Amino acid sequence: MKFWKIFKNGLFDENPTFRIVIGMCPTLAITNAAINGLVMGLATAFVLLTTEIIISLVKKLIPENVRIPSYVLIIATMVTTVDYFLKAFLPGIASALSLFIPLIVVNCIILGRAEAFASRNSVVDSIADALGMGLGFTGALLLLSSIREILGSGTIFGFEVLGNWYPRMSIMTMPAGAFISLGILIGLVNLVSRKGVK
Amino acid sequence: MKKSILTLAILGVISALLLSFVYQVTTPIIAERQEEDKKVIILTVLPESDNYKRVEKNGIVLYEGNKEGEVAMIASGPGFGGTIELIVGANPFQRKLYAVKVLSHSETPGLGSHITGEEFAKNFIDKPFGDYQVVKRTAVDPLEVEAITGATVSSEMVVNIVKNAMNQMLVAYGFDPISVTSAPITTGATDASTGASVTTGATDTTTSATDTSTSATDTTTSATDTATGATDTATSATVTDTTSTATVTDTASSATVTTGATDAATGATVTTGATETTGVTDTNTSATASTTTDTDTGATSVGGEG
Amino acid sequence: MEQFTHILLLFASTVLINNFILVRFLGICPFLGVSNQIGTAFSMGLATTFVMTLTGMASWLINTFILEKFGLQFLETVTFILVIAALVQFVEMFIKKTSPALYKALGIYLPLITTNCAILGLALIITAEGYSFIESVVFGFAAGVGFTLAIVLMAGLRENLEFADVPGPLKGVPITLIIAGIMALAFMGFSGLIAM
Repeated sequence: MKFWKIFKNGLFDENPTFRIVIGMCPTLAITNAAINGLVMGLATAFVLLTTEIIISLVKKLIPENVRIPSYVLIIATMVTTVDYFLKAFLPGIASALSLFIPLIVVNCIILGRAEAFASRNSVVDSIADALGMGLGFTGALLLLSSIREILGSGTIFGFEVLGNWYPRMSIMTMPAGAFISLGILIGLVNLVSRKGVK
Repeated sequence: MKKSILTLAILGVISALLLSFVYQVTTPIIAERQEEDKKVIILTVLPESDNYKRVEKNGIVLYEGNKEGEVAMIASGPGFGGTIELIVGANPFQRKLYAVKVLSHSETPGLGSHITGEEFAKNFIDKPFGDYQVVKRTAVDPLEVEAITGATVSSEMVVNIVKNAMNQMLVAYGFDPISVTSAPITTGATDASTGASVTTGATDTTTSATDTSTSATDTTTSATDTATGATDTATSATVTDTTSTATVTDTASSATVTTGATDAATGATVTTGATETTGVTDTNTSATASTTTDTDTGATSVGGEG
Repeated sequence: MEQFTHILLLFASTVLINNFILVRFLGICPFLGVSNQIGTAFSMGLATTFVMTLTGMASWLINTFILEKFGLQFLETVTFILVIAALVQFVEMFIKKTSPALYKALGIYLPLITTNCAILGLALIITAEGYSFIESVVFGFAAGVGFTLAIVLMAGLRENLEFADVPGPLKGVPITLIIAGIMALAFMGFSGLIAM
């Protein structure tokens, strides 16, 4: 029961993208196509899961004063691993995500959860947290990238959904479109949940 | 304190070991994939070859298909938003272009990015070598390239790179280069990814007289090749000679021909023939080249895109 | 002269055409978080520029003399992030000792810079592009200037936004993102600016 609760917390109540608004760089940069958003989200979720498991296991072995550098080292190791495996097995997407895979290291979600959650909770709870947060992040990226791909290119995962009658809003695939669509999307989430109104 | 350092050191060692293992495992796979991808790309621009070998000529890397005469070459140069890299498949012996495929670019999405599209690629399929010209209408002549709507500059930059590659290839196989005009790089020539100034591909407008025995039109553009490539002040003089006798034009058209200046990617400097008198250079393409001469100079320097 | 022109163009294109925030999407977190007031935004920009210039130098040196020399490219990310963390710590201590006034102005932003992806991004771009030492330093400095420009402009807009009647759900981050989008549109006008 607790597992489910922690999981749900990451997925909705404390959704990293829409609620806490962290990890914005990849959220904006690589969401021009749905497949990029999905792979980026899953790569981040994988790093989050493995680091949270490792940190919750070794938390007692790491002295207080070198906690952060140790966490960073663990995160960077996992990120590099993911980077090489993506390059080997999904080379096309790896080159589309290019810089933003190694930059998962400085994604505030990872270090934030390692510090705030995994260093204080059991392995099982950490797994629940990582899955919730990771999938919450993946879902947000997938949503944003799908919207941008449909409006900008008329396709989703490369399949044509809007016919030739639809004038492609190329701006949606460009930086300006990223900012504007994410701004409107967060606004909509606020509107629906009525939590954004102060 | 001691414990802290020890912890970090142990973590560092574990990390390095794990990563070197990952590196050992994935590197051969990555290399193999890249090789495969490259093979597929090279073979798409060589119509009849099913294998190729890498050769180096004049410092340029060429991929010779197993079908006689088929050669592919990777070329790059400045575009509107950054460097455009493309692969050119051709037959320098028959002076024929098979196909051009854009490998990477950073042109404006929705406008310049259409250089990767099939519609634009058609412009380069099975064409004779020549001084290709970008036109903003339906192409009628084989040497005309239809500009992408709203992306004339991108279209011109691709044509420049193709013409450069074509001449580098010709020179590599011991032929004389074709004299080409090239669009002055007036815009966007900044290399987005490197931010480097683009001296490159510098395509500097040479244009010795496109003089053919049959043609009466002689476009002589004096080539001011600024070494830095910072400003391209080419196309300074456009002499249109309407005299109908070909012989008259010859003396006027002795321009220094520096074709396909420097290509950034390969770093190869192709400087051919110092001073060429008479517009001899394009004897092979004479018939076609002459028909296009009127379209070039005016339309080429378009300030902005989109 | 040629070299000088090249450096100047690299600087201009990094600041305007490939702006770290608005085009490359690096450093979005501080851009959204620390752009309420022009004063603080400027301090943040200054601190970031300082660290970026040093990172430009450090990453070139490390890549050339350690990673490439010993074939340790696979440790690139790990090394850079640790070096950046150490560098930021060092800068913090150094400023604290030498200039208490500057430390007061920048102090609280320095720890935030470690997790600013613009810094690690910078180091990774420098290795990927194979810049020379001079280019790396100029690139780092220019990236910082571009970052400062964007964040100060945004702070200026947000100060005026205080007086605007923004719909409830759009208050805060959403409206900032939308403004950033419009700024990014304006910056697109710079592509094609530098004629060569």
